Amino acid sequence: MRLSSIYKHGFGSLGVTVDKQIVYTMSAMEHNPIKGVVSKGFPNVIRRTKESFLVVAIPALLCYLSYDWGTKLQAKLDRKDPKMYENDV
Amino acid sequence: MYRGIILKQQLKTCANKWFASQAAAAVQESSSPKLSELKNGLKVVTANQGAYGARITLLVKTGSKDDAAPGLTHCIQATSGLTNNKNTAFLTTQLLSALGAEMEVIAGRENIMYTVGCNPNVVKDILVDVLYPVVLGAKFPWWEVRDVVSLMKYQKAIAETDPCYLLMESAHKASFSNSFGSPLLCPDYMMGQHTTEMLVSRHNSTFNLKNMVLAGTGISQDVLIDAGLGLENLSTGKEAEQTTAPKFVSSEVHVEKPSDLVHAALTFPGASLNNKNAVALSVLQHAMGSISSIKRSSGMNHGVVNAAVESATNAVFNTSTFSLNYADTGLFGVHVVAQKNDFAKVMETTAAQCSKIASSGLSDTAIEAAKQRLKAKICMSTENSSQTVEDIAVQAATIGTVATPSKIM
Amino acid sequence: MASSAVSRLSNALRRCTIQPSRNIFPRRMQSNQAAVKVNTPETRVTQLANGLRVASEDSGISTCTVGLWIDAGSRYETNENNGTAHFLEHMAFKGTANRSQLDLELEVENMGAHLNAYTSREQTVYYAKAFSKDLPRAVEILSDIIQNSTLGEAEIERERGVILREMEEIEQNQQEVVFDYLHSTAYQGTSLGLTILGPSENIKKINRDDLVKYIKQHYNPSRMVLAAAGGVEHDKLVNLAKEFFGTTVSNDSYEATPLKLAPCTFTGSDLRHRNDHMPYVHVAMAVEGVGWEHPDTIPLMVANQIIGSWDRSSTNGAHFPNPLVRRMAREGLCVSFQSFNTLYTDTGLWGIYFVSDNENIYDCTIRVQDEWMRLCTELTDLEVSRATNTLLTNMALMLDGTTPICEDIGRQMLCYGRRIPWPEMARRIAYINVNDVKKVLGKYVWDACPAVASIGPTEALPDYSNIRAKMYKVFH
Repeated sequence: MRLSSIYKHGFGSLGVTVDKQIVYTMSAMEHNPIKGVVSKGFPNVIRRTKESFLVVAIPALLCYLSYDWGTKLQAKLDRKDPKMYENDV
Repeated sequence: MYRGIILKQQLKTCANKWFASQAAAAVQESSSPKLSELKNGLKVVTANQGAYGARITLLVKTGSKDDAAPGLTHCIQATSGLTNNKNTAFLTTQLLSALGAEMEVIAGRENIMYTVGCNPNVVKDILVDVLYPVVLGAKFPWWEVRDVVSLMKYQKAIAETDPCYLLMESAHKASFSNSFGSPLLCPDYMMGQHTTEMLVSRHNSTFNLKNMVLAGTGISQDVLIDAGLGLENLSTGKEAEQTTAPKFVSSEVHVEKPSDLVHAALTFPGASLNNKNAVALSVLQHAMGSISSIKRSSGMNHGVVNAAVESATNAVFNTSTFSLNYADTGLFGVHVVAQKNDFAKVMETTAAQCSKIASSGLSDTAIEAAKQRLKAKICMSTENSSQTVEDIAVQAATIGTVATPSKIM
Repeated sequence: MASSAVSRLSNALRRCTIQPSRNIFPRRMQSNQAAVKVNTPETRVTQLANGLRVASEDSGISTCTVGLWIDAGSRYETNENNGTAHFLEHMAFKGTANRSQLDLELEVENMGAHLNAYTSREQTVYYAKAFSKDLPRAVEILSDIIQNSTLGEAEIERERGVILREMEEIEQNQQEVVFDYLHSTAYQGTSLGLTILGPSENIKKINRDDLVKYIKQHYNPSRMVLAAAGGVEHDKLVNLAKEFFGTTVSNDSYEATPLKLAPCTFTGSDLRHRNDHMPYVHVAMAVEGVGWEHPDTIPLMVANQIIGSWDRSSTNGAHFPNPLVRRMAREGLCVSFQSFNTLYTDTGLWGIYFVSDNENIYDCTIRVQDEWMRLCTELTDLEVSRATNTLLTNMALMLDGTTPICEDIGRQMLCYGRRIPWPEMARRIAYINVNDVKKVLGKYVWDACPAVASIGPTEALPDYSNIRAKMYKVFH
């Protein structure tokens, strides 16, 4: 805190007045952390899975396929040509 | 240490005493007040209405009208319960709460009342151990007098937020030329100016047994007499001399406060408590209308002033009449509240109505109704022990007798 | 007596209390004081055929108080009709089918009688105070008010304005506001969280039909008590009740009547309204207590008494036996504080209301919670016996005159279904010992989630999680 500010507004005050601010809080102990895990949570998982299945699955499949194709191609390209070593001793 | 042991014993036995008092309370059904005077000059008065708890008031006949220095009474009130010849402030408070009692000090224009509410079985202990030392043996050490200033300032600041208090102060100031009009609470320029010497000399001159009344409800008179007999006059003063009655003067006082509402009091000389006209004036007060007894009523049927103003203006207003009776004087008046724009009109009508009543009187029906209201008010006030104890104490102090409700009727 | 004619206006007599005043709370908040009086005159109870209970106590004096205590208040309302009970109270003395408002006022005033009414969260009360000989007329007037109120449109419109103004007035009273906040956060989502006055939108739209419907639903004889005290003969009162209330048929069968109270769940939570323009912070902090009938009520009241109450105008604070009073007075941390125990049918709020400024509010809160924790763990025998003594005196002195006794009868009849005789109550209080108090505090206060409501410059008020963390202590 700057000295000039203390001089101006008094110790502990920032010289700001707040009005009409209402804050609600609920005790953390009032929450039940596992409430509705089975009854609400499980169906929710199904719903959310359903809703975003295609969004996730298609790109994932495409990624898989392209990666698979890529790695396979790479492996293929990396293969040594046996003909080149035919004359080795 | 010794006092500490007593304190502990009292604590243990006090709760059980409630059962013992069962029989005592049942016996005290007769309610006519009894008055007797002890050899040492103390007047003892009791009235019982079968209340379970007891209330005792020790009244001292002195108040702000006797203030040589303005605010002295206020200072005495504020220092009450502090160091005295028997107990420290600490012990006074501890004893009171150990006995389950509570004490209240009320300082007025002509009386100071020390009221204690407690279990009837501990009355004697309280009187001897707490109340007498507090009242008769007050010491006023300078450090306590100094410390009490902030409390006085706080009390005054709180009181001044109440327009009725300001109004009544101004009404007294305007109506009485001598010290009767002096303020109840210490004026600002006197805050912290009271010294131990001033307080002690005032205490010596006025706090003596001839000047006091011990009143009680819910307790038999024998107990109070018993507790009062052993008292000696500690102060050297004589009985208060009869001062000349304060004279009523016509004048006006204005106090300006930023507010939409204007309060005003129109006062007339009233009757003193032992004057025959006191009752007549009280009837007039109810005929003109005091505070209405119906919640949120229109006020139209309560007295003639409200009705008259209502028919003359369409302002939002209220009037109520008061009649104060002191020992040798009185104050009768009308309290008017209205919004500032309508105020002049309302006040004019009220004043006109007052002079009309003065010249042509009131109708018989209005007076009958007012009598009925006054009777009801008196009877209802005897129900309540805190009000009764104050009433009998004031009466015994100022007129020397105690009137029964039936006698007044 | 003659000097009682001295108008009380002359509060010439400014009061200074040595014992901190007990009755700062206005009536709406006052349900916490379970006061009982000597049953020297016995309280007699009769139930009429239609369910109306008549209870009275005869002390043989020349005046009496008679009133109707009705089991209805803002708790029985919903978000849509909140405020109706209070609106009805306003309409009560505004004329009936048999007499106009002016006639009613004239009649009552000329009898020298008083008429009063008030609404709380669980009860609605109408009472009259009169000469004993006028008892029949008083009962007749009460029955007329309850059963035949005109509820004229013009009066309703006028009262709407009056209530809105009353609301503005109450908003100026920080204590009322803070307690409304406390209820709204502690009982969030339930009907106890509603205010008594209701929101202004409701007041603007309540009409005659709503009022009539409310009367039909709630003002039925099985939920009413006709209580009287003073010079009242019980048999005479029963006959009067039969004459004036006997014809009202109990309509418990009315389909919409909520026959059972919905439970109002307490939620440990916090609501803070920050307004830096106000000079003081007003805080109400409470844990869930118990309802009227629960045996733990009395130890909680004793605990309240130990905490005590104090404000700056009382002298000698630094010498008080209550440690919190002493601390606050010495350190000058707050302007005033008051412990309270508000009781409802099945729940209650036990806590403290305090007023302090921005700089001291943090310390003040800590001190209060320290004291709570001290009571839970280190309470002494001496303190408990002192508190029971004071409680007994307060209760005995509170019942002063016919009106407080009548209020006591009416309230106890509704809460307990009977009048508790004084010896019983006094014994129950006197036999409370330190272990009872500790046990009860351990049950309701120790490690409980408090509800906190505050208004004013609340910047320095500890965060809710900090307040919650101070509700227990780790010893080493």
